[in-house]
Amino acid sequence: MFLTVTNCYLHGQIISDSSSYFINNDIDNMLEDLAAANEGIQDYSDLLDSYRELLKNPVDINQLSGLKILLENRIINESELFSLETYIKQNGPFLSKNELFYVKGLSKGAIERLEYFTKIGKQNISISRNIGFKPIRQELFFKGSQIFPKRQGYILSPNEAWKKPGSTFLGTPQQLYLRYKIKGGNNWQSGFTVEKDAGEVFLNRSIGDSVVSILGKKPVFPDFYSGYIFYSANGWIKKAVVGDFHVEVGQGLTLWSGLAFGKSSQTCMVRYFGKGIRPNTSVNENRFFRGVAVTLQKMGFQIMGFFSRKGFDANVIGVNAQHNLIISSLQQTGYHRTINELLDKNAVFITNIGGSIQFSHKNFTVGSVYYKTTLSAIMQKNINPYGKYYFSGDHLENSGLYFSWNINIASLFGEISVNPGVPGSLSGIAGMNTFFSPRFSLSVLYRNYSMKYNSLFSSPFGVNSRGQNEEGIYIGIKALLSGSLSLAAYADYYKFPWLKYLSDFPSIGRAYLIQLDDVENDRLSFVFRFRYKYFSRNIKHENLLHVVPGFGERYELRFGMIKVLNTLFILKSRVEGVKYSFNKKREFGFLIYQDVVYKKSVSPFSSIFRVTYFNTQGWNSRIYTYENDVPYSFNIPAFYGNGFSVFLLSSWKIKNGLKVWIRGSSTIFFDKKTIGTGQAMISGNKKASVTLALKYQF
Amino acid sequence: MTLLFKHLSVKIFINFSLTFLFIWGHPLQLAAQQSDAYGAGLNGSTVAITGFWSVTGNPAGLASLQYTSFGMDYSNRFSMSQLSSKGLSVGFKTNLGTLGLNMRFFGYSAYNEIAAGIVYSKMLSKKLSVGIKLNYYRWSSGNDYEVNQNVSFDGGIQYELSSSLLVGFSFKNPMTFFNKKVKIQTVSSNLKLGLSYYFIPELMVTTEVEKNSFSTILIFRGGMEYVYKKMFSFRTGIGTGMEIFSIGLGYNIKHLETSFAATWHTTLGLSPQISLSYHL
Repeated sequence: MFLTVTNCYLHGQIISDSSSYFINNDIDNMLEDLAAANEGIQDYSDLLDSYRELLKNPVDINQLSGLKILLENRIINESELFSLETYIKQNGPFLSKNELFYVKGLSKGAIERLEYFTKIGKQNISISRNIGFKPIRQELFFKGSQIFPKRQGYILSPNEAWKKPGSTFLGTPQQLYLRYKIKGGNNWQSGFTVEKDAGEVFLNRSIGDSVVSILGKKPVFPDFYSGYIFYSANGWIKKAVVGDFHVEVGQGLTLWSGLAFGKSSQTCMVRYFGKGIRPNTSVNENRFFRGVAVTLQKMGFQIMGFFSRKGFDANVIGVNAQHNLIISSLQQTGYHRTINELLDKNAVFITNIGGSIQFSHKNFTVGSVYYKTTLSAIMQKNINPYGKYYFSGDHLENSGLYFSWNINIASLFGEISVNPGVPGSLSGIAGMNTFFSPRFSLSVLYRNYSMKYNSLFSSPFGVNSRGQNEEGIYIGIKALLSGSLSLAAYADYYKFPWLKYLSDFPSIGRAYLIQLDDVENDRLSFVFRFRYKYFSRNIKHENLLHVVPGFGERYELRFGMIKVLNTLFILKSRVEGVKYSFNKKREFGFLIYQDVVYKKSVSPFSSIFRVTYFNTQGWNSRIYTYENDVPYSFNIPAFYGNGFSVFLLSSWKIKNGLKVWIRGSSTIFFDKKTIGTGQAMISGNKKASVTLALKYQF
Repeated sequence: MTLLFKHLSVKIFINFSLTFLFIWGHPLQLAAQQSDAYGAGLNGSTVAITGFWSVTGNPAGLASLQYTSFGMDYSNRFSMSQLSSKGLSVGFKTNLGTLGLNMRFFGYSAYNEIAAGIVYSKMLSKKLSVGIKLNYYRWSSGNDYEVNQNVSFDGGIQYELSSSLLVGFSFKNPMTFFNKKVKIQTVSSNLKLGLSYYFIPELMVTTEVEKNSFSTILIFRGGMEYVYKKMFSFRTGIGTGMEIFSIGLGYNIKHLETSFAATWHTTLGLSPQISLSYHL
C-alpha cells in the first residue's frame, strides 16, 4: 500500500527558480534517514502535505506563532528559532528576507528553507478571516499508477482464487487515489480520501460465488476511504474534528498516533512538537483514529478529549470457548488484495477513549494524558520468549505526564508513562536542546522504555518502533564551522534489556553519523556523510539447536553535489557506498545517480530525470534513496542487487489551478531472473511503472 | 609552520603506534590512572585542554597555569565502594616552568593501586607548550601476591593554531622501567591527538583520537563545556570506546572550583566523580 506507492513531491511547487532546489536536499536527506530507520514502513506524505500547505501560505517570519509552526513541521530546529527570536529582539522585525543573511546561527540551508516557508507580513489565509464559512479553496486530486509487467498474483483469475487464497489478487493492477479538500476561512477544513491499492478490487463483477462464499460478501470499491471535518480557532474551542484524525501529545511515549521520528541528518531535531489533534490525510489504512475529538482552552489550560472506534486488520487464529475472537497480531500493510488479506480486514474493532489536560505558563508547559484502548477480540499472548511482555488481552490503559521548559539558552523536555496496574511498566524520556552559541547547538536525549510497557498508539524517539524494551542515550550536535561549512553529527548508544525479535539475548547497539555540508554559493553545494551502525543479532549454528549472539556493523559513506548549471538546468549527483558485516560475512554495496532538473522560470513545464546505477552484494547492503514522485506520494526505494534504474517526472501547469503530472520509471536487474517474491514476484529482470496525476484547485 | 606541525604530529603519532604499542603482552589499565571529574565530564577528551587538571591529562596543558593550585578528587567506579579512587594534586609556577604533583590511590585491602607523578611543563613560545611527567605505579593483590611496581613517563605538547583553536598531542607510558617480578604485566600505554575549539569564550568543544595498547581499534572522543556567568559549567562528552557518555557540572566560587561528573560505561553503568580545586 503506502510502502511503495505513496510518495512525496515538492519540486512541482518549489523549483520555480534554481536555488530552491537546495531546499529539497535537506528534506530529502531527512526523509531518507527516517525511511531507512523505519525500514520504509512509515508514510510521511502527511508531513509533506504540511510542507505544501506552508509553501502556499508561508508563515510570518516576525510572528513567534508562525515560526513555531515551522518548528512543529521540522523545517527549523530550536536553535534556529532562538537565533531568529534573538535577532528580532535586537534589531526589530524583519523588513526584508535579505536580513536573514545577517542572523547569527543560520546555515545557508536554513536560510533557503526560511526563504520559502516564511514571508514578511501575515499569512495569506489570515486575511480572509472575515470570509467565515465561505470556501476559499477547494482541491481535487486524482492519481493512477500501474506497474508492468503483471505480478505473479494476477496469474489465476479471481474465480480461481480459492485455489491459492493467500497469493491470488482479486482486483486489478492499477493503484487509484482520489482526494478532495475544502478549506473555509481560517477555521474550517474538510476533506476525504479514497484509495485502491494495486491488486485490490475495482469492479467486483468478476468476483465469483466461490470467493463470495469464503468471504461472506463481495469486496467493494474503494477498499479504503477516509474523511474529516476539522475546526481550529483561537477561541475557547481550539480544535475539533469529526471523522479521521490523529492525536499527538508530549514526546510520543504515551499517545502519538502520527508519524514516528528517529535519528536523521537533522541531528538536533529530537524533541517532538505534538500538534494535539490533527486531521488524518494519509493513506496508512490502520494507524489513525476514527470518531470525534475536541480541544478546549482557557487561561493557559488546554483540555483535550477524544473517542474513536475503528476497524483494524488482524491475524485471526480462532475463537475461544466464550465465542471471543482470538487474534495473534495487528497488521500494518493495509493491503486487501487476496482472500486471506480480505478475511483479516477489519477483523478487530479498537475503541479508544481518553484525553489530556495541559497547563502552560510563559515558557513552561506541563500536562497529563490518559486513554483506554479496548479490543473487540482477544490478543493472544506471544509464545516466543522475545514476546513475553508484548501486549495481550483485550484492553490496555496508558497514562503519562509530560513537560517542556524553554529557558534562555536551552529547552528541557520529557515524559513518563505507565500502564496503570502493570508493575514495572514505568517508562521515561528526557532531553535537552541547547544553543549556547549561535554557531553550535547540542541535543541530549535519554530514554528508558520498560520491557513491560505497552502502547498501541505511541511513537517515541528510539530504535525500537514499539517504544518498549530500550534504554539509550543520544547526543547530536550541529556546528557552523564557517560561512559555508556546517557539521552535523550524532552518537546514539542503546541497549535492549530483554530479548527482541532475532536477538534471543539482551543486546546492545550504537550508531554514529557525521555529515559535512558545504554550500559554496547558490549554485554549488556539496555534502559528505559517514554513518555507522553496530548491532547484535542471532547466529544460527547448523549443528546446534540454539542460537548464539552475533555482532555486526554497517558503514555508509556518501558524497553528493548539486550544481546549478544555468537558468534552465540543475544537476544533482550522488555516490554512496556501503559495507556490511555480520558473523564474518561481508557485503559491499554501491550506488550512483545523476539528476537533471529542467525548469524555465516562466514556463508552465518542468521535468526531472534521474539515472541510477546500483550494485550491492545482497539485501543487507541495500541503499535507500529518495525519488521524486507526484504529489501525495512518498517513494524511497531500497536498491539492492545489480542494475540500472531511471525515472522521468514531468509536470505541466495547464492553467491557473489545473496541473498534471506524469511519471515513468524503469528498472533493469543484471543479476536477477525474477523480481520480488511470492505473489508480488515479477517474471523477468525488468519492471516499469507509469503514474498519471491531476490536480484541480478552485 | 602550522602545516609542518600537523604533518609532524601525525607522523609521530603513527610511529609511536607502530613502534611502542603492543610490544608487551598483557597491558594493565590501572584504574588509578583515570582522569579527574573535570576531564571525566568531557569523557576524557582532554589532550588539548589547558589548566590545572592537566596534571592528570596532557602535561603540556599545565604550562599555562596562572596560580598555585591544589586539588583533590574522588571517584566511585560503577557505584561500588571497593572500586573507589582518591587523588591529590598540586600545581605551581616557577621561574623555569610549571611543576605539578599528583598522587592517586585506588582499591581496597584485597587489591589496590597507587599512581604518583611529577610534572614539569613549560611554554616554549606564546603558542607552543611542552610537558613531561614521571610516573610511579604500584599495585598489589592482597597479602598472597607480590607487589608489582613500574616507573614510566608521559609527555605531551600543545600548539595554538589560532586564538580559539588548540591542538594537543600526548603519549603515556611508552615504556616502563624497574618492572619488578611480573615483567610481562605492565601498565598500559596510549597516544592521543586532539583539538579544542572555542566557538565563543564560554563554549569550548574538544575532540581527540586515542590509540592504546589494550585495544586494537582507534577510540574517538568528543566533549563540550559551557560556562555560564563564569560560575556554572555544564560539560558533556561521548566516546566510541567502552565509556560512551559523560555529563558533568561545575561550580566556581571565588578561588574554589568544584566539578561533578558521571560517566556511563556501555555495560557496567554509571561512575560518579567529584573534584575540588583551590587556587591561591
